[in-house]
Amino acid sequence: MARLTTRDDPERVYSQLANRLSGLIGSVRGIRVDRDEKRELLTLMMTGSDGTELPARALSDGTLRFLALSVLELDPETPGLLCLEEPENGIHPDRIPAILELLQDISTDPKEPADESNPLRQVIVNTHSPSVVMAVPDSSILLAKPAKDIRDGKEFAKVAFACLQNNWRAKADPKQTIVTKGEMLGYLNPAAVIRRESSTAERSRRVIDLPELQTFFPFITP
Amino acid sequence: MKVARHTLVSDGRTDANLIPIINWTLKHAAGIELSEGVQAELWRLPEKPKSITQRLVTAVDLYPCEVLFVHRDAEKESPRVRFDEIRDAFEKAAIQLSCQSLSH
Repeated sequence: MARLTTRDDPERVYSQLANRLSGLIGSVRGIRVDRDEKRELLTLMMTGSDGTELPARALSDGTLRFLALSVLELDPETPGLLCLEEPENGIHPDRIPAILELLQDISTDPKEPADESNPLRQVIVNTHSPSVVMAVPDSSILLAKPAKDIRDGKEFAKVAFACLQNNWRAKADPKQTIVTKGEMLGYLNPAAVIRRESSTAERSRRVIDLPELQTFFPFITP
Repeated sequence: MKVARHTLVSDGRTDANLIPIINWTLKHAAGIELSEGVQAELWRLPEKPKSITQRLVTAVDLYPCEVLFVHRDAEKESPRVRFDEIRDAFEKAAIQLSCQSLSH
């Protein structure tokens, strides 16, 4: 952020970050950096829509991660590969599309020439979240699955990376492992997995068993 | 190297325990050096196929394989009844699947 505010108008940078952050938590009026010259301390401060100002240490992990990624997205001098472990952690399910959109904005648009507005960047994330799997571009998905192989007559376990059918990955390499429809079921229909055959004991009734919520689980059948 | 990918259609989730046994059988009785099997998790589907024929057709669509295994609980029926039932379902499923591949 220091680099960004040196080469550009700080107020403009803070305003861009606040706009991005609004896409996540919807209530950001502004961002600034508080300078404590005496203690030589810089503190990022976020102002909510109600005017309450919060220091970075009071923000959630998810908000801080989103903020850091927003800074990265604005900085053309940060090229290369970005690897993230389950970026959806700590983020409300409704906000997952916002962080996925941000990650796609960080990565290079392969349809445009690489330049300062489209720096060479690649993003790799791993996830177990059905919400993420369902929302990313189909050609982005590689399913890591346990596989077996034989070398020198000895069987060993390995990981195979399988792509979905009918996208450029599958067409580019005829030997590419393909994800079966069945392997995707756990990601597309997670509610069915936790469905129990019967739920008789009131004390063990779960959210998914509540009669008034049944219509909100479209993928399960009685 | 002889390799086989197989799919198991069965009555319950715990039947997944049969997969290592199938792997062993393929290796020692059929000379398949490497086999990888999955259980067709048809209970995950919003509309579960009811007949065995439909279960076989759906399993092949969701989990393409070289070898398809079917396990049925006896439920007081004789092995002959189950054998005939499975063979009949296989024949019907084969016809459906060949019709589907022709239409594609």
